[in-house]
Amino acid sequence: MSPGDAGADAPRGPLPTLRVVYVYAVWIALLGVVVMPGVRNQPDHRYDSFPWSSYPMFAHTRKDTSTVVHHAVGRTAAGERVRIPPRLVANDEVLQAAATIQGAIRRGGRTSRALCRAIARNTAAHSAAAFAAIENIEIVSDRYDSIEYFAGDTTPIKTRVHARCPVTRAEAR
Amino acid sequence: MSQLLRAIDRHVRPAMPAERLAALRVLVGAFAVVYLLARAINLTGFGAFNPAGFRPIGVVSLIERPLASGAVVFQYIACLLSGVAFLTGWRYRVFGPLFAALLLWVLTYRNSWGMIFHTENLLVLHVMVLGLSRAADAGSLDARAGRARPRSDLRRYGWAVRLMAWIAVVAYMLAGVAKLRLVGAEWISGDVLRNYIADDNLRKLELGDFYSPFGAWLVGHGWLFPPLAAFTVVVELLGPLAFLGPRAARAWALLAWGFHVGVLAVMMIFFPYPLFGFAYAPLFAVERLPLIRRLFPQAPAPAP
Repeated sequence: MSPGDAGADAPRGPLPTLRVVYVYAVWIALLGVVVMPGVRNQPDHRYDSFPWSSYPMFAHTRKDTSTVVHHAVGRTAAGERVRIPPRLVANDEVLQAAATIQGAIRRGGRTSRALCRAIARNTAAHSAAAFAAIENIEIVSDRYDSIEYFAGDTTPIKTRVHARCPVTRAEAR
Repeated sequence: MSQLLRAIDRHVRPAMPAERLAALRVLVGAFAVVYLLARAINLTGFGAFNPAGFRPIGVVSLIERPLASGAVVFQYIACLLSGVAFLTGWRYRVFGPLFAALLLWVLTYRNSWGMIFHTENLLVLHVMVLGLSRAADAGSLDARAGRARPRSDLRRYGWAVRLMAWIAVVAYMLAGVAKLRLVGAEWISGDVLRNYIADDNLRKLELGDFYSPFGAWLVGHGWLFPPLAAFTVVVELLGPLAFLGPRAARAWALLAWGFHVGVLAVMMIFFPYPLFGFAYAPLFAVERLPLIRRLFPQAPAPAP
């Protein structure tokens, strides 16, 4: 239906015209779906969807300064860490790649290992010199003190390795 | 009572020129098309994603599994082409609602992989309002071809502009309400904002994303954060004051825009839709913008 094609321009009698009903229906429907997430009584009041949301992303209690980063890292033979870029995990979007890793960790060891192997394959196929020395991929969760981190202490307080897998290159086979 | 209802009706359906709604169609449509082009890789490149990571939300909950790569590319191209029709106002009765539906679907699909990008909410909602309105009665290919023309009843146009403004204001209000509801006054008085900024920057730095060196420096100065947090919540909650008049609208839009500049400066979170002013455009007489005047040089006489 095309908006407001029927009826007169403004309400003239006791009954609203079809056009006015249409306007109010769109108002109620669209403003309703926008407002609803903010007023619905979810157990934790955190409803998030798209494009309707209660916008809970910065509304959690964050009393402590600990930050857990779930990521994929490369390990050289000497044990040095090499940062794995998001495009080797999922696509160019850092947060989406991080969400992919976090989701795999949440689903358990099997999924983490499968993701680890996929990243190892992508790393082996990548020609960049920076990745040539990587021998293993690890899916890890690092815990940091975020305030101390920016004061200079960048060492993780705690590290948990969820999966480890070798990077097998064609010439090494 | 009838006076109150009449006042509500005047607020919901104010008289506004067809050119204002059309200008919003052009502005928001242009943003949407450019956004789709700029995000082409992100909106079509799901092939490397693990299907187990597919978490359908919103309208995409209609499907349980990820779409085939070809279907993803097809939906993107259909969305882009209908976006061009929306922008130019060609066969708007079809392409207005169709683009709104396709944009909702394509962006929800992108958000169905475990990460919701709140930067896109307002864009989709504004396109939905425009798609359901007579936004191509002026400044459109339909108007040029005689398929549409501005009507003399200006209340046909104002309701959509006002609804777009309310949707923007309510979105900010919800963000403020969530902070107070979930954390309470401590969100303002405590270290919550400081910890968020430190956490966000650390995460980005470790994941190889752009982070804010300014924000990293700022977290070393804890006393700054209660006033910044108070400013944030006040801006979010006081949006409805924008409807008091043009000055109030300008003031609130400027504060909200300043808030996003601050978010960009300390967290490197880029909200293009508000930062380029599109989110606040429904609060202003955008048909007077020089660019729009050039696009709509001579409006035809309104039809009765």
